[in-house]
Amino acid sequence: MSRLRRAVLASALAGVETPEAGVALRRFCFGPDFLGFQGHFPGYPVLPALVQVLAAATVAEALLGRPLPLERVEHAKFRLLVEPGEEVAVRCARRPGDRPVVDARVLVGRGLASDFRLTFGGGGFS
Amino acid sequence: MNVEIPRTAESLVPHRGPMCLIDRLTHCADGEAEVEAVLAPEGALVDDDGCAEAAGLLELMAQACAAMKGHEDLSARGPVRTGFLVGVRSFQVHGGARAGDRLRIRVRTVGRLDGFTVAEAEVARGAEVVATGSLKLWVTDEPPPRAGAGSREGGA
Repeated sequence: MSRLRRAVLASALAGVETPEAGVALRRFCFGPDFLGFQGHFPGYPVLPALVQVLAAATVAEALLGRPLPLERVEHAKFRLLVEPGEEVAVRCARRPGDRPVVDARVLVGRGLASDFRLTFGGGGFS
Repeated sequence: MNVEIPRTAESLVPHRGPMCLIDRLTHCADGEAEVEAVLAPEGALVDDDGCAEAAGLLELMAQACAAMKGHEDLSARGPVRTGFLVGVRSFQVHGGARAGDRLRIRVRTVGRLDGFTVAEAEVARGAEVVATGSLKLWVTDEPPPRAGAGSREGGA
């Protein structure tokens, strides 16, 4: 596991929730010392898109039941700047079909921060 | 203004420390650029087995686009502006990257409008293309307002 992924998981406020079938949600809070803010950017830390995708990948893996390699990111829109200390909810919904594909939404108190689709390799859903 | 190349990334992008993932700009002309990055074993994106996070390749593309924009800013005798990734139409992983790999990131501008740039990008290790993508960046003259100081729309 990469240092950044470890730091993402360490920023989770609680475990993964499953509010409905095929949906997983986890809440995070990335503090000022979070690795992803270090140098991104000096003087005005902003949560990198990379971290939002990584966080969603960890939630998707919980939904899918196992770690899977990321193959695609599509239809991504990063709409709000996410700053240190904001509570972030990452919601992944499984798409119908055999392929391991999820639609991810990253939400903060002000609204939808980003949304994107993740496709994983390694076979179908468990 | 002729801006010398190769040029270190830190003179072209605002990223610093562990989140500055690219090393240097080796080519930039006519809306195209090439950037090098060596994946450090102790880097934030590399796991204990030396494998890099696939999503990190997307960040490499975004930082390569930022380096191209930074070079264009310096060439126009302006300050280096900050670019935010605001969209990814598609990003596809074709292969893995490992610690110690010297990666070459090629970006090509395919559209510009009102501060927005659309670029196509690929990450290669030697002759092997390990990722391709199409990204949209928003480039701004000013850092975004701080929390509680108004709108914080756009980008990551």
